Amino acid sequence: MLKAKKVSKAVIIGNKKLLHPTVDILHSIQCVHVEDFNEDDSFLTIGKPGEAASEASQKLVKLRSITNFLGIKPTHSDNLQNEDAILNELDAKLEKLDSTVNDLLDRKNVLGNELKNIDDSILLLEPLSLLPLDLEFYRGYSSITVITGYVQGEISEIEPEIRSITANYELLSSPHDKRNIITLFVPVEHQQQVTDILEKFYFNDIHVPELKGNPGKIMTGMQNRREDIQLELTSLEDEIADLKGKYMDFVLASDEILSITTEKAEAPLRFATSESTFIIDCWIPDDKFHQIEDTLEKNFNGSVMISKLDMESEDIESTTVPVEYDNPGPVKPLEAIMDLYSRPLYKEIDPSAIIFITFPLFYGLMLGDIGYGLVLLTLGLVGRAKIKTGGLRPLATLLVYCSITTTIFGVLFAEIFGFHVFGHHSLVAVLFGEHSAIGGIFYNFHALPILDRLGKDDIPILLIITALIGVVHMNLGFILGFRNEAISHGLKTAVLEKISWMVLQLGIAIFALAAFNAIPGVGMTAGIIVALIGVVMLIAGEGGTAILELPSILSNTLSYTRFAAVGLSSVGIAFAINNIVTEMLFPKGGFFIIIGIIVLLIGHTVNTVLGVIAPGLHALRLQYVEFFTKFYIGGGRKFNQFGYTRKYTEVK
Amino acid sequence: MLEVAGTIEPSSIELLKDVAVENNRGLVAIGAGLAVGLAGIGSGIAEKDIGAAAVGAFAEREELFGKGLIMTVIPETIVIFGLVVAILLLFL
Repeated sequence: MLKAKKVSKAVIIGNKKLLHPTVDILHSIQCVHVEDFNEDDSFLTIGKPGEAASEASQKLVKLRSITNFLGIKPTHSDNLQNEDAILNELDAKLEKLDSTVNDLLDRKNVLGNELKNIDDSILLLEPLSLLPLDLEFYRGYSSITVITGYVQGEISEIEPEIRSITANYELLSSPHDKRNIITLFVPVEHQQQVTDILEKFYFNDIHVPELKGNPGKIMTGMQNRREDIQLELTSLEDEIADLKGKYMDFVLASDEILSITTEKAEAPLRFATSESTFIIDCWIPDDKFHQIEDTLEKNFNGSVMISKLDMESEDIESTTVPVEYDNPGPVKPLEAIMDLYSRPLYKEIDPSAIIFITFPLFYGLMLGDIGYGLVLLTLGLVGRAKIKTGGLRPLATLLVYCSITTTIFGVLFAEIFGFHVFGHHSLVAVLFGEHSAIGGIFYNFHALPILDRLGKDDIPILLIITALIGVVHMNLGFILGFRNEAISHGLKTAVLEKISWMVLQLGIAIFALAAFNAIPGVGMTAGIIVALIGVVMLIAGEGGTAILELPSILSNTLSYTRFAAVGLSSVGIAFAINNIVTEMLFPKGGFFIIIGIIVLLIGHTVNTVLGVIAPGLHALRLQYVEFFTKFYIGGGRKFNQFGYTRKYTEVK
Repeated sequence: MLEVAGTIEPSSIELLKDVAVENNRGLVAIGAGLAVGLAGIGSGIAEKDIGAAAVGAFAEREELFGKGLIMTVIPETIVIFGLVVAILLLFL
């Protein structure tokens, strides 16, 4: 907790013949972070991938394309399959599945193409079906030209113009889609003149399909065929779904096995090798070192050796060390919030455990409502039950934490969905009557709320409390910063850069107390002197530009008053909804009561959604901006375990 | 003027005082509204550019999300100040 897991740089050296067995072992114990070897001018070269690599990756490509076609997605699986059983039938089953899928894909493509052709043809035939001509009559003439297409304008205007050129013509037309479709038969020698006339009417040529018969009848035939194809496609989709259901477990399991095989076989590409040895450059958690040493010794009798570098004596840059969090289970979800910002450096404090307390605390302080708290608790628990793996699970857990603090603060503020629970405005007393048994208890209970956010008297107190929380939180940041600086740059720098801020705050506090007559008047002078000492220390530590940062101490402290502000806005919305419903709608009775209930439901749903988002973002921001800037550097590398966490298979 | 004032009933003066107090409360409310509203516009103008740049950076490199979020929300403090001023105006 508060520190990254201790790791050491280590080197594994062994006989090249034992490379693949070594990889097998390292892959299965899953606690080594391998550093990729880059070829340099030395005699070392990167290793050669194992023979299994190319074959396994070919199968994997085939399998992934099947996965894609069948639409198989990774899921959570409870029953693990035996690796040997899968491997025995892998080739035969994959071959069979591949040919079935290819066959299905071909059929799907053929049907799809035919469907597209039919659609295109129907589009062409539809206007022609309006003309009383069979398709074969549109072509095959030597002395006559057939012009078919759309024109804009009346036929009665077009026809006289054509007649003025030749009386020897035949014009058929029909209105279609705001235009007229025409087909015009004229002698070849008049083609040019006729075309010129038609141009004036925005003539648009259409292609007549080379078919025979009545276009309407052909269209009906095509439409029938179209329906048949669609039926066939539906049954094809059913077949694909059946296939998916039948082979899903097999596909996921063999994907996993092949991935593992490929990963192992390609691992030598990350190692350095000489003519007869291999060298693996890696990081190993200190608590696992002996286990790995023993395993290698037991399996290879000293032909593969591991040795560890002394981290204290070696001058290792903190940025090069891969970082693995070392937090107890309940703190783990907060690591997601750390990763969202940046992973801590190896030697730095890992603040996950601190955020574990402050994040839900801030969240609860802002939302503070029993009703919303219980809704969020339900959402969080449902989320945890539904989401077993993946990035959303930590968020669901976090929601559970936050809902608990929200409920606790809700009790302190005595609020349920923005209504008062205790006292003279108690919702319970209103519902049951103030003299009833239950209502009376709530009506006469005055110990709560400890802070009344609905009345105006307590709000200045709330503002002061929130600013004080800010002061505590920021100074916690300065203390952590002091520790980080002391380790990386020495005690003097740490005092000048971090303690200086605390001295400055102390000066301001003395001045303020004197100004409000809480301590004798000389306090004002004393305060100014202390504050100046702080400023001088700061300038000595960080240089003249630090003066520009001085106002941040004020803005950062005031920034914490958002606890009160964000909380009040949420209370305000709830209060407004309740007022609209209880004062304006319910008294009118009848139909308005139904409207009132609808307004209540929608209003509070919207407020709950806002309630989840707004305090979440603000609580996050206070961590990232006000807290982290005091001490946090970040930018650590992730400790990537060499290995594969099996989800669908097991080795017996 | 004094003669005119003398003719006004005492109860009317009370009424005028009430109206003046009510007017003042209205002005306070307007002031509070302006404090939040204008501060909000200020924050919005500042955040829109930073936000756009942050999304751009985030699209290029996903690990910049945290830093981008921080940069984006820095001007947000302005509107919190506005809100605090408004609360002080309304409740003190």
